[in-house]
Amino acid sequence: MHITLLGAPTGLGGSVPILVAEALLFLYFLAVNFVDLLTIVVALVALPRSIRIDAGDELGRTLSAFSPPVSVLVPAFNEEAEIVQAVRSLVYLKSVEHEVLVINDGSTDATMDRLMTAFDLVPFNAAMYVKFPTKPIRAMYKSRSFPSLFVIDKENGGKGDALNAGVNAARYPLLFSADADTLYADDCLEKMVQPFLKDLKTVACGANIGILNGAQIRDGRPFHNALPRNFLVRCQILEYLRSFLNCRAGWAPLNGLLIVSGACGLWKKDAIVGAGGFSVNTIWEDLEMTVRIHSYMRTQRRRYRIAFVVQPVCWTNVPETIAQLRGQRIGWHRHLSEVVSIHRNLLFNKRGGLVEWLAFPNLVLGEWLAPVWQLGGLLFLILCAILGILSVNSQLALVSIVFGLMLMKAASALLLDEISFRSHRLRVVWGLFWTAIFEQFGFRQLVAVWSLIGVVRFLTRRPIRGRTYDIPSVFDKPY
Amino acid sequence: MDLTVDFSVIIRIVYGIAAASVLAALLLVVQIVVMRRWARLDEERRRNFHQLWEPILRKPGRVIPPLPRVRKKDVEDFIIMWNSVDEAAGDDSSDQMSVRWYLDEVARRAGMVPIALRLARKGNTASRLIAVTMLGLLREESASQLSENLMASTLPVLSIAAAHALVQIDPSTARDFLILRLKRNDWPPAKVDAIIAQERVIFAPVLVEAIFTLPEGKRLVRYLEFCDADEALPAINRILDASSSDDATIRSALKVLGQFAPREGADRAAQFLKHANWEIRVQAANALGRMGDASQVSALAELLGDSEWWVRYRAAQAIADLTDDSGALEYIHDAQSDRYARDMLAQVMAERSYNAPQLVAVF
Repeated sequence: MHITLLGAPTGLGGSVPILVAEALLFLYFLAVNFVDLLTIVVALVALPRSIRIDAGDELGRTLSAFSPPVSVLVPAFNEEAEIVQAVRSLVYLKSVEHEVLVINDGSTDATMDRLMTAFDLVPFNAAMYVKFPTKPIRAMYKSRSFPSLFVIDKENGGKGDALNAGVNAARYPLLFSADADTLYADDCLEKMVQPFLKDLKTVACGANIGILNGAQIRDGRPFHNALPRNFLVRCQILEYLRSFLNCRAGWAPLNGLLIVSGACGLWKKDAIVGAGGFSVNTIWEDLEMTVRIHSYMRTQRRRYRIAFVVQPVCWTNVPETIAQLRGQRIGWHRHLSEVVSIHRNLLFNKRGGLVEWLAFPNLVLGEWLAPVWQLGGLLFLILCAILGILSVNSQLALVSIVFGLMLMKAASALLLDEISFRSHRLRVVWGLFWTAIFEQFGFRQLVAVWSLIGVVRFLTRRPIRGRTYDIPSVFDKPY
Repeated sequence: MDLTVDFSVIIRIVYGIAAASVLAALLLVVQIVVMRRWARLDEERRRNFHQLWEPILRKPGRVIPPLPRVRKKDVEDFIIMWNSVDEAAGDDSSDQMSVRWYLDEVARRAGMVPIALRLARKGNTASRLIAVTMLGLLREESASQLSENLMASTLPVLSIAAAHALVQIDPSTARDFLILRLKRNDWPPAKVDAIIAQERVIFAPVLVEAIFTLPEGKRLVRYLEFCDADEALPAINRILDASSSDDATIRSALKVLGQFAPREGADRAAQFLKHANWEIRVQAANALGRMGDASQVSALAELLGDSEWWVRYRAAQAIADLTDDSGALEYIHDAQSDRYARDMLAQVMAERSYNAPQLVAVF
């Protein structure tokens, strides 16, 4: 076949390798954005419907009272600043019967002392049903002041190991993984058990996580009255909205949700035990656990659903400095690399379905390889400019479509937030819309560089232990 | 084959998509502003509605006061408020009967019956749900056919709400509800429990008959807990005596037996302590803990070394329930040669007091 290009650049800029490179970049861009737009459309259709059903569902609140009881697992490593308030907020979660299991994962600070004093802990002899071997447990304690609170004191083994110790000790059929540095709404469990009651096939449920930095409390929930001054925080608010509402709220109705956040995930214990427990070999555990549950349920040929609650039920602080953000993003992308490596067999698996042919490929190509494409594209652009073969018109066209689609994705995330919770004042919404424009220049490229470092660190097997960054405590501020 | 591609056309298309995206983004932002305005107006409307109707609905009297017109926009809020007040009223005592009469009259005089019928027929899912719930609470006979149709809905919440409404309208359909329950595995079990508990007077007479006559009727055994003991226990005994009962049925029957805890049921429960199915052993230990006496402790102690954690745990709890004297409990603990048995008993002792013997860590 002979192809004639009319109006194409002449010379080297119009040569076959350059045109092929441009076409590949463009095709990649189209494919990734097509999937993004698909999930946005699904979210826009499904989200108002689910909100309407919930609003009219007087049965909903009644239902949660009949929920199976929940074991709340709180791994804690050097969390002396916030552990007491975090545990107190979890003990007071309403409507659903629950026990709270704090797993002190060999903290070297005063985490354990704070717990002992605040909750009047006494040694408790637990005969655990040990499903997963963990690092040695030093002791188990029970609270005199809160009968449903237990503390496991164990040697350090990482978050996955701590969660496994919690699974061993948990008595109830549903497990809620929580973080000590997250603020939970008191009706968090009430909302999250509902997918399990409405659809018996549900094995896990994630939820929308809001950002706390700079928020005020309205009706017991954080609300952004003004745009945070910190530009990094603004960009991350937008990122969270895009991630949770455009993507996760869109993937969940398709049953292609690949991540249930470790800070706010409700799991069926059977599914976790069947899938082999939380991973102790990865730096984080949430993405890996979710993908493994997909893999496990599909191998077992069992019908299942991984659901998502669109209303924010917990809030966390995000990094406020470049150093904190860098550490977080390197860690995230390294974990993503681990998951892609472990579960590579899912990719375009012949006997697979939507997960193998759309969700997981999107994770690999649209998320994991995104920094390679983004930075590769940028380098290509710079190289062409240096060689003097840059077709200004075609590059401007490419930049404008990138810009236009990014703006549209930001606007759709803001609209979905408006539908689901309305967590920002109108002027904040407008400010975030402008942030979507400015984040294109610098922020996204920086994140891509850090993500690439994460991939490199995974490939070079550079060891990481524990959390690699510190962020402000959610309990530091006078809420 | 020759293919001619005009590069400038591609560039124009790309620019077009970019412009359309920016325009779409701006439109979405405008939509947010419009929605915010609607939301504010809606909040104001709702506040006014509550100020007007709350005193009428929440403070029932013997005479129906003059009723304001229910505006079209307020219909769903009215139904939601009315449903919640009516459900909270119950229907047992004479006082509550008069409250129910008052609420029924208010709804009917406010012209809600035809509105609810229309919503249940043509509304969206949420509207249908609240409307059919209202029609059920009103025992509105003209809604029986409609409820029957909605029972077939693929949406479990709507289907179960319609089935509940039909039972309220026509108690003779209770058996049909149970038949549908056996077919609809997507109905939330907790909600079914709540409905059968709420309508126990209607369900009790048909439940035992349904258990023994319907195909798969044994799956209904668990609902016997909502009947009176003199209705439920003969059925439970019959199930436990029958050699043909499957494991799931026995498990449910033992659970119900444990809830009624008749004195004479202890021996029957004890028969299942050595059953091959561990879930049955759990229920047998549970039941025995509630209705047994000290003479059953030795049989329960044998379960302390069971291979299943939950059997050991429930057996230890049952022993603790049947042994008032903590010294006796310590004696039983010390007498165990199996480490798992000792540990489990130690845990349960620790749960009930804080001076339990130290156990060898099993971690």
